[in-house]
Amino acid sequence: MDPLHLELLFRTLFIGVVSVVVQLPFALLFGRILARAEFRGKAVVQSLLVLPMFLPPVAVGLMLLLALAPDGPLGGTFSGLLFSRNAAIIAAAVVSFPLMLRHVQEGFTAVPLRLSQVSRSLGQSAWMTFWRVELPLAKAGVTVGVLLSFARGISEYGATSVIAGVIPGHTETLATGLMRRLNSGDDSGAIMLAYLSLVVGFAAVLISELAMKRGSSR
Amino acid sequence: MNDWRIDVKAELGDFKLSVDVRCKGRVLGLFGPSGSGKSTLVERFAGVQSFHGQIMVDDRSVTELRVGWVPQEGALFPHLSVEENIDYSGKRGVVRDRAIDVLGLKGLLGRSVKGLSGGEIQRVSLARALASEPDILILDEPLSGVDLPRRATVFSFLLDVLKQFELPMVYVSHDPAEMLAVVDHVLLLDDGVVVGDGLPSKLLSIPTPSHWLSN
Repeated sequence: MDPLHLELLFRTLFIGVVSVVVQLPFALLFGRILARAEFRGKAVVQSLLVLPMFLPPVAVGLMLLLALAPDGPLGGTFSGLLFSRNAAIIAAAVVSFPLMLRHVQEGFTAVPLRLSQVSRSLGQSAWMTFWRVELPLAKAGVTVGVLLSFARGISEYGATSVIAGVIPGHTETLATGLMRRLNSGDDSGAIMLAYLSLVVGFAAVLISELAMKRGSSR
Repeated sequence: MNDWRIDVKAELGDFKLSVDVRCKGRVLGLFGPSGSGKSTLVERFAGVQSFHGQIMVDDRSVTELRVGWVPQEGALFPHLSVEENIDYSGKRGVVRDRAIDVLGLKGLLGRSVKGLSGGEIQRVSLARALASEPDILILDEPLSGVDLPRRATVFSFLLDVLKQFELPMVYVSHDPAEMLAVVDHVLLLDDGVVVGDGLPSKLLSIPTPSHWLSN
């Protein structure tokens, strides 16, 4: 295999893994809150959190670009992130977060409230109840969320190309590299990257399907 | 054991409950039909539902007490073994060992809770509550999830627990025969209102309203 393709593959996997690690604490926090808490405006919060899934990824990228630009609301602190590998991680995380949130939330919703109540009655704090009862019982949903979010993150193109650009050897990923090769007439390179994307994406989705099946058979 | 007092002044969902009872004996029964407020009260008692008001046991708020709660359905943690369920509170003292012994659970300790019968689930749930070394024990319809042929066995285990653990207990049921066999003092609840309070032999010998028995 062309070492450049291999490098692209590893960079893409790295971006996918780090984006999942970045999202996971937020997905656990919001997934747990949305599964259990009732509060005014819950539907609005839920809609806002899953919104990136229903927007064109390029539009998400544009929003992020406006936010992170030097004169944007986050620009002062974070404008240095634009057109870097970290920007690709942010793009992958934002676009795939709704997918992770949905599955994590479903995982927590399936945990019987009674078990959390019993844990509290046995002297465990809310945090220990989360750690010892809720998270282990929501594990299948969390695992599926992580894997599908990873699969979505590594195939991300629109938002990534807007805020991370397509800089060979730096921010280029399998998806953006594939598009650049197609545009430049490197058809064999594009096909090779398409195959690589297919293998990695299929593996992630297959594992998530198996995890889902295992979770539902318990 | 000396008498003990329970004083409830609380808003419980749709109704307000005001009760001040001196329980003559160790086991207080809450008797009434489904929807009478029994489970609503014990869930507040167990501290798992917030409420306005206060529940006092003798002169201490129930929030200061460790309450052992055995919910109707047992509610064992399905990802833990029988032993891990019993040890969940983190206390592994003599009370825990005695609970395992009295409830005949030694042979079940290594097993997964999946596949346990209704009676075994209730026994493990009871052992788990006892192992937490509670100041007071609440048994919410402990026989309701147990199939009929096994009820007598579970009931004899329950009676052993009542004999061997010197704890104030609240026993919830809508079965008058169960109440007569177990409790020292009974509170009759109907639609969130206390309609009787006294000795079970006196209160439960009257014909039970038919709608109380239908559930």
